[in-house]
Amino acid sequence: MENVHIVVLDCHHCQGEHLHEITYAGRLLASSICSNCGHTVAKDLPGLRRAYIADVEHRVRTKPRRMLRRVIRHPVSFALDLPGALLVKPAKMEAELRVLYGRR
Amino acid sequence: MANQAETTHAGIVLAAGSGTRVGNSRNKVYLPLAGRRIVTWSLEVFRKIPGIGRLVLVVRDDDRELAAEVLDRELPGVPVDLVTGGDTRHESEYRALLHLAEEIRRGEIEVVLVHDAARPLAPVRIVEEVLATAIREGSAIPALPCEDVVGVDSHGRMSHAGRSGMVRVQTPQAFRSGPLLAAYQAAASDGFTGTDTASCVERYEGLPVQVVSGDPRNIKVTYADDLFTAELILTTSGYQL
Repeated sequence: MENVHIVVLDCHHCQGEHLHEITYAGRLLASSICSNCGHTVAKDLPGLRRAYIADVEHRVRTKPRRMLRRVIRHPVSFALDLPGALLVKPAKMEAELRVLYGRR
Repeated sequence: MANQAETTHAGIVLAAGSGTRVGNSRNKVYLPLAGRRIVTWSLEVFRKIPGIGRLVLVVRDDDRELAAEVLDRELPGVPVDLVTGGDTRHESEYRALLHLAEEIRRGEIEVVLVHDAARPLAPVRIVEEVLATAIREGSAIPALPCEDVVGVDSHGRMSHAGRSGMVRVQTPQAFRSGPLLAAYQAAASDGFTGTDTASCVERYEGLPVQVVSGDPRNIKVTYADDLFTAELILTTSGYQL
């Protein structure tokens, strides 16, 4: 999953529906920013980092099971997608770390 | 009349009209929430009820590919029919009912539950309760009392008139399939567009709609802040709602 999503949501601050930028650190919500008024909702970074570490542990533990499920269901597409997925993994991790350290 | 073994209930999840879309923005029901998409959580609650054997997801035409990909990844092996929705909630519901119409006419679907995809936290208890009530009474909707509502008279003063009995309606809403399909077919003939499922059934079938107790956790993701609330509720409930 990408770590930034653009979606229309209502804004408590300026009212009405506006584009929002929703940022994730891995599977966890990190922040939302209203494109109209700039209203930001963000988790505190130390708390987010603690939750992220726990979540990464869970992701690592369950990865073999999730990969096996994909191999069984879609062996060809799994084999074709795997090299690309491995290549982009470092960039994805870097993007997650940037969110965790408030550098994006 | 179908025998008991052939009868099931159907869950319809509406994801066709979930918010406005601008440019490259995404339909909010495909946003990730605690590792899965919002729409997956909304379907998952129906999957947990053994009596619900048919699942229908109503999507926008340009979301079909994304929806199929999400289902394949997050609900593998769970049969979910994709139906393209209409311009209004009412039309989307009607299209989903037409998709099930043959099974309804054959008596194979007893109750239809209609749920908003943007409500990912509906507790199992609510689904069980609306289903049981609809089997018994013909229809059921979950609702919460409006305790913080006051009336205002024409002079701008607080008024207590008309306050009692006001509720905030939630989903899933459940109806016996035959009257529900008949109501939507009658509405289509009349060109009537209802604001919600219950209003259409009430108008055309004259069925009293039974209200059951809703749940404050069953929030609809509308504001950006709702995403954070939903994630917190999922986390604190151990993802078991």
